[in-house]
Amino acid sequence: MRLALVPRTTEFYDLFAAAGRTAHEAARLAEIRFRETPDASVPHSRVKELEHEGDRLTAEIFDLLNTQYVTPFDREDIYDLAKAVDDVADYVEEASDLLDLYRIEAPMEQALEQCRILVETTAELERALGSLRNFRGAREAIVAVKRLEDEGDRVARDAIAALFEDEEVSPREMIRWKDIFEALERAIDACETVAHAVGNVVVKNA
Amino acid sequence: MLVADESTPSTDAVAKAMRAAGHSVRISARRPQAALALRSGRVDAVLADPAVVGDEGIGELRARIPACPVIAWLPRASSDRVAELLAIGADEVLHAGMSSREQVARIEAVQRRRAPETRISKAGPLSVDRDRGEAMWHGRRLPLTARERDVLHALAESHGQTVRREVLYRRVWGYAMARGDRTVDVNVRRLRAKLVEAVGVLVAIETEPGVGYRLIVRDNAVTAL
Repeated sequence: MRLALVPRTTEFYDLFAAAGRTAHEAARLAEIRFRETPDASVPHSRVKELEHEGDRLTAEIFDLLNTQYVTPFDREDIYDLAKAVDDVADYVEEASDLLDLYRIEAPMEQALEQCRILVETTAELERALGSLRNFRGAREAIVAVKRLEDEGDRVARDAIAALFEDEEVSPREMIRWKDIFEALERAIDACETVAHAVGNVVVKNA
Repeated sequence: MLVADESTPSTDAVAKAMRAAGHSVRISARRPQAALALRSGRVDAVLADPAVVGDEGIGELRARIPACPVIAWLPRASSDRVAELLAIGADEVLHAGMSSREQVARIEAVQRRRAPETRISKAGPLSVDRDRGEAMWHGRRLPLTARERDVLHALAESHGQTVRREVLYRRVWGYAMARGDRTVDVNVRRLRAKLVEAVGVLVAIETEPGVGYRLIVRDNAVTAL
């Protein structure tokens, strides 16, 4: 493979910004699906399309990384960041898919709270990933993601506790919702991993 | 029928006779499984051996499942023991001296005596028949799903009183409602929409915020509650 000597650094910025927008849009649509279930106006296929778009953007970043001699940040940091952003859309898609797979009859309030946090967190990620050119606002976005992730942890623990408060809750409901709470929690955790990766880039380059 | 806790050769024989008579029998060797089966609301009689569950176990079953017949088993006929078991809550007492045919007949008789009386609920011109799977308004069938019908039945049999969400969930779904579960709200919302379309304003499901729902039926300006 030939390495290009003419830098195409702006393309990295554009691709990360697009990946951030895609992850946020996937979270926004998943939130609508949870809120409106079982009569959701958004089919899971739309979330799936965004997950595929995320995969495509990640592949494009990797291709660029493999063909560029000059990169805007350390290669390892670009690789870690691209993979972390891709994971967010993957986990959002997984949680959205469980609504159909488990034939969920109605949402639980705790899941809606997790979705709200997920949408806010991905909005901060979009801001952080859109700031890689000049890092303006990146630190604030990273702090916000960490705060939201802490809030997400508390909500997830409370959600799982709610399933076990009464021993007469249906085992089917417990299995269904524990899986969904954990999938949403993984999506929020993945946002924190992205924030860490952005933080590494900021520390080395700002 | 459910055989609670451990089965014994004697209760196994009753179970076999019940199966031969076309009944479904479930033997729950472990107490949690038995409790779960009872909570599902799909058990129409429980057979328990006091030698296994204890006399207090018979009383506990009686208290936990008031709508379900509790049948006790004795290894031999004893008038005093029969009287004791009936006194602490058994609906029937079987013993080894009875033929299988008599045992089955007695269980079926106690099931008939304890059969729920509220399979049909009515509120004015509205009636919900769970056995026939029909909800009718002035004799006209309402296009409801089975779940919506069950919710309407539970509301109609409460005669205009507010039914707590948790109670509604247990009556319709047969389990405890987890905190934060919106299943009842979603089903009531859908039911409301269908009732408005099919009946108009004469039937309303009112919300008592933070508590539950009540059914109000009006027909010809008369509140039929």
